Amino acid sequence: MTAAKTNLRPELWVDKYSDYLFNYTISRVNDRDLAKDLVAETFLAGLKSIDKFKGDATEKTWLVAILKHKIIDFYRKKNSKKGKAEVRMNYVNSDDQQGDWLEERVQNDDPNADQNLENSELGSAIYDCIELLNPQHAAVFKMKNILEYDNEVICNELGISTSNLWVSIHRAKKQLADCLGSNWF
Amino acid sequence: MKNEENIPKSCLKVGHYIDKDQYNETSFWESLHLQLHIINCQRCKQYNKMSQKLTNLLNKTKLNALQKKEKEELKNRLKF
Repeated sequence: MTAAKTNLRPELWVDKYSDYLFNYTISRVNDRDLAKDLVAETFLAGLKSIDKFKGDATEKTWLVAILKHKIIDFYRKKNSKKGKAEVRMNYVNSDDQQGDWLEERVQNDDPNADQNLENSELGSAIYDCIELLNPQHAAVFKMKNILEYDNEVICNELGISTSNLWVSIHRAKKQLADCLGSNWF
Repeated sequence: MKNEENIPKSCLKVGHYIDKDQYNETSFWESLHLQLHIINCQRCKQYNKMSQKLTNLLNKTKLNALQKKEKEELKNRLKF
């Protein structure tokens, strides 16, 4: 096995990267089941392409690149169906109807696109910082702030006391604030 | 918890209340104690401000994560 291959740890991918990839995807496809499918397909594609991993990028960057292609492919297939319908349509070019026909056909159902993009980037930045936390602190932080579990559930799930929970939250917050720095604060 | 920075006990306690406050989990007395303490304590005032900013950022981004069950299903799909 080459050195590059030994750097890949597929058995850890779900635990290490699934939340990050899922969060990345769902902000772009807005469908939970679809997002899960795309993440699963990414991991499966990664498994099939293990031999092609050169080690130039990190494991995570490599998986994100695969995911991006999966998302693009999804939209390409979705829009190709629309495209075929458009070819059949007749656009009446009269003096009353000025403007670019393609722009008018593209549905703008997301007037907040710029803000959504910024939020998505912030989300990825937060996840990058969560990854640097102690695993227990990260788990507590995610369960409390993202999954919004009750304290009792978190404590049972992780086998910790309420006091440990708050210590983890405190440490996680301080480290996240340092990590996010002046870019986002 | 080790007090590596030699933070006064009162500030450690208030830091804890500040954390709880972000989730509206403080009691009336804890909340009052917090508000009175940060009038004169710059360290805790700063921490309170930072905590609020972080909460606002998290609310803004609306992060998503997989439930434990969903991760197990994912692992099954990958046969791990």
